[in-house]
Amino acid sequence: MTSINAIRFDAFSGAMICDEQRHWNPEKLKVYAADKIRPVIPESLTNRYRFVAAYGNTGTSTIGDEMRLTIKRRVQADYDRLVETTGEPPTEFMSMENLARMVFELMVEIKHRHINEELRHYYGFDTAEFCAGRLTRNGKESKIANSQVLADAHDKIALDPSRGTQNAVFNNAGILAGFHPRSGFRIFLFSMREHFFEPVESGFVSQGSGGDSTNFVLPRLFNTLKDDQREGHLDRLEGLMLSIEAINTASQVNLGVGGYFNLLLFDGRAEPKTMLREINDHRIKLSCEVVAAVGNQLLERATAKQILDKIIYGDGNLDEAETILFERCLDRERLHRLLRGYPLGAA
Amino acid sequence: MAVVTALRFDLNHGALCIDRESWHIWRRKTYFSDHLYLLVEEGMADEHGLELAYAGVGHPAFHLEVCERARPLIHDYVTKGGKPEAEKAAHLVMEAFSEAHRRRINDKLRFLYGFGGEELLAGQFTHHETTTPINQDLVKQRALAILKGTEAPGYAPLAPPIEACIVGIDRHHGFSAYVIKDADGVVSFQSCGFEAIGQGRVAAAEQFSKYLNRMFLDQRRKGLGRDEGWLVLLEATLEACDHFGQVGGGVRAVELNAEGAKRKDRVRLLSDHPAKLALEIVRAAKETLLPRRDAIDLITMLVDKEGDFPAVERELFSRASNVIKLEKVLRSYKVDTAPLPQGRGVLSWLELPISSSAREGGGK
Repeated sequence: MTSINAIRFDAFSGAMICDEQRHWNPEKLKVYAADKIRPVIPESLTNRYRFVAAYGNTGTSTIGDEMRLTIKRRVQADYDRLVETTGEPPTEFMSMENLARMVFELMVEIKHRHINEELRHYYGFDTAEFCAGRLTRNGKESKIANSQVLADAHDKIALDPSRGTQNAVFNNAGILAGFHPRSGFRIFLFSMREHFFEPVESGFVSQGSGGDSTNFVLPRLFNTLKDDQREGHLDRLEGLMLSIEAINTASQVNLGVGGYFNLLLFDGRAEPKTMLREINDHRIKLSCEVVAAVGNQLLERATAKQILDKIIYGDGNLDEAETILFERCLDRERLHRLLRGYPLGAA
Repeated sequence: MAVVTALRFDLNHGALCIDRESWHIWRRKTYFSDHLYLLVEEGMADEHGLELAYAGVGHPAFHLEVCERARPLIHDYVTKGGKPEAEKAAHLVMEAFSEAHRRRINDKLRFLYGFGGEELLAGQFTHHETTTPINQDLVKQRALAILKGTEAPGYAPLAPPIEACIVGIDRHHGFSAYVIKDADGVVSFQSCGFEAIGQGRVAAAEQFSKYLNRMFLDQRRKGLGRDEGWLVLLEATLEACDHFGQVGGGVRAVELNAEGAKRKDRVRLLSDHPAKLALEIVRAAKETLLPRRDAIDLITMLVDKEGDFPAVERELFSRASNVIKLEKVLRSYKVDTAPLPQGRGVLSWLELPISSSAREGGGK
């Protein structure tokens, strides 16, 4: 269970944000150790091509980790192959669109590998042999005829999403976001549940159990934007506050979302080493508290933006930021109790 | 409501605690589902010294129905001269539990097929005044799965298995506790002086065992005592909240005292802000920011309503060994990884005494 989100500010910049809670095993042990969105472009390639991207997965943690690690290795391997072939680094390398296609192909590969392992484990044949209706072992061909085996195997291979059955492989979705000089900042959505990938045209996307509430919060702002704003001129602080508000709400209202969040900021105009920044320490925690204060009418929006600008986009000191939060809030007692998890409506 | 814990404090005292988080419609959390019910009306309780508190995990509506069925059963039993003992009352609750369980199953069977459980067992039912046999294998298979409980009769998909814990007091036997599990269909005595059911039971039970394992048998028979007992009960519940999904959102707890003459002495309820503060006190002790003895004192103040919520809250921060770290712990900061923000004015509203150690802006 998870919240992973991406938002586009303009043609060069955007953000992703996720939580770190994991439910381990059917006992649902809460562990705040998940790493749900990770950069997938090696640093050397960012430095050379000004290309940054990150992939986030929701669903089965192990599948997500396999995706995130393998994408990065695949990108490096593709680059190494090109260098080996041509004898020198290519002038241009990839694009967000190419990367998205590669990610989907990897998803297909992972799906087939896992399902084939399962089929072989239970029945001794794989997807291709199932499609043929027969298998050959030691030179001998035999039919796959048992109707219950056929039904069960087909379920494993081509699970119908409307059935809603929990499945470790199928129950995954992903978001890829990044900047490439040829593509600009782009976001792509992937679904193993419904077997597709596509570019995100709406300016934001949210997946995971937290999507139940983030998909109420995020459109709230986008509904009010003029066309040119929506198409890529969103104020970065407004976009940031909206993203944090969305995931704050998810952690309050939806199961499986919690811990410290990881905020990834993309900026195609920046120097390579700061084109992608990750913020997952006390700065994001304090930022969440600032946004929560605004949401509960305990802090002016302008003050919140001032604080976030300092600590997220600047090198602001956390002591000063917290001082501003408490000195300018409308009711320190209520704010402190809110931040400690007390329901504010009660006396 | 995915954890219920219970602890016997001594022969005549004990308490029950339940969390308040519930999961709805697949993904949504709420923080007010804590099905904790008193099952004996006050007048009867005062007359006979019998109290029973019930708390359940799993489907909320099921527990409401059980308690609404159980109350008149207990009332009628005592009114007609039955011995007012907690054990007998617990068995009446079991009866109500089974009736609620069978009601849902029968309703589902009737909805699907037009017959109930008894008719399934008989192999026939009456339809339009005609006796109709139940011959279809597919029907029998599915109906049996429903009867046996392998197909849930309308419970929320993520609800934990339905279980309940009952604590009771009476003049004959003092404090006692029981557990009912839908999967088993029996009422069991509490063993070893504690109970933990629901999603968070492993964490809670582990915490209980940390204390009980260190006690001699004679000490365990006497019990932890009321004051330390409250701390241990809340510690166990907090462990469940911290480590298991579906558990959290605060707690409600009830203490029963067989020596109390009136309800207000027999039954002490901890809920709302005081319950939340009690968990914060436990957390402070857990993080070694508050001596255990102080934690016990403050919780006792809350339970006995000797201090109002703001006063006890102020005491918590006054007595903390590191108030900056404490308030960050309570705001769910990761306190050991990097220097914490230390803004001014964060706790100025508390008006802490100047002598309070490491107060705001003070030592680390």
